[in-house]
Amino acid sequence: MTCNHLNPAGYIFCATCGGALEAARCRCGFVAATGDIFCGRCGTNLAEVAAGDGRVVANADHRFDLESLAAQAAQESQFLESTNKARVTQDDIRKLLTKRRKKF
Amino acid sequence: MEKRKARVLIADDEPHIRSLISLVVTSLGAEVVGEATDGEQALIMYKQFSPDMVLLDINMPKVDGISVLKQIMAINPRTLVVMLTSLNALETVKECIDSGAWNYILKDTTAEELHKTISTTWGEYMAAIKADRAVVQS
Repeated sequence: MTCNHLNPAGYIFCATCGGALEAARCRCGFVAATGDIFCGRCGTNLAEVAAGDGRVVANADHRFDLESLAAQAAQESQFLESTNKARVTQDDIRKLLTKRRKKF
Repeated sequence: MEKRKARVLIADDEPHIRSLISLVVTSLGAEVVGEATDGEQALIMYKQFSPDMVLLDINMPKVDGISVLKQIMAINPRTLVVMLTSLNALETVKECIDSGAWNYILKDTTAEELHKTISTTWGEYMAAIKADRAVVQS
């Protein structure tokens, strides 16, 4: 797109010159408004999409990776918390003692 | 030769618990040499009386029971320390056992069970001491 017309969000082609506005389509599938700097859905830097340097794919994927890692970390933290708060009975303690009690 | 009575130190900030434990310990033929109402007092009494067994609560004023346990173990790692507490968190139990507690009794136990557990604990401890002496002498 070369006419610099400010197209509304969701446009794939320029309303003035008909030029493709693919640069504003983020890798995640969201079509941002021309002139937007970051994707409104995933936060990817759209200037990098326009530059076509290939980093967008990495960035978008990386972002999703981070999200899945964060979810995984939250799950693990929840599990650890539940383990730490696990309650034991006198029978459990007896079993623990046979395994862990100190030796002289 | 007359058998010496086992000397026991009780550390708990709740008077009714101290009374109950004292009753149980005495009924087993042991002697209560001190009753501490907080962790600091427990350490002072431990150094003063050198008891054979310490029955130790965890939630106590001034110094908590786990810190007392660790300090006792630093003084004499062969001391028989039994934690007697209402805390039943797995991590707390593990920490106490790993720090050298010989047993860990939950306070929701009945007086009868407490009697049995303290008696068994003493027996197991004495057996371990004897076994260790046998190994050293051989």
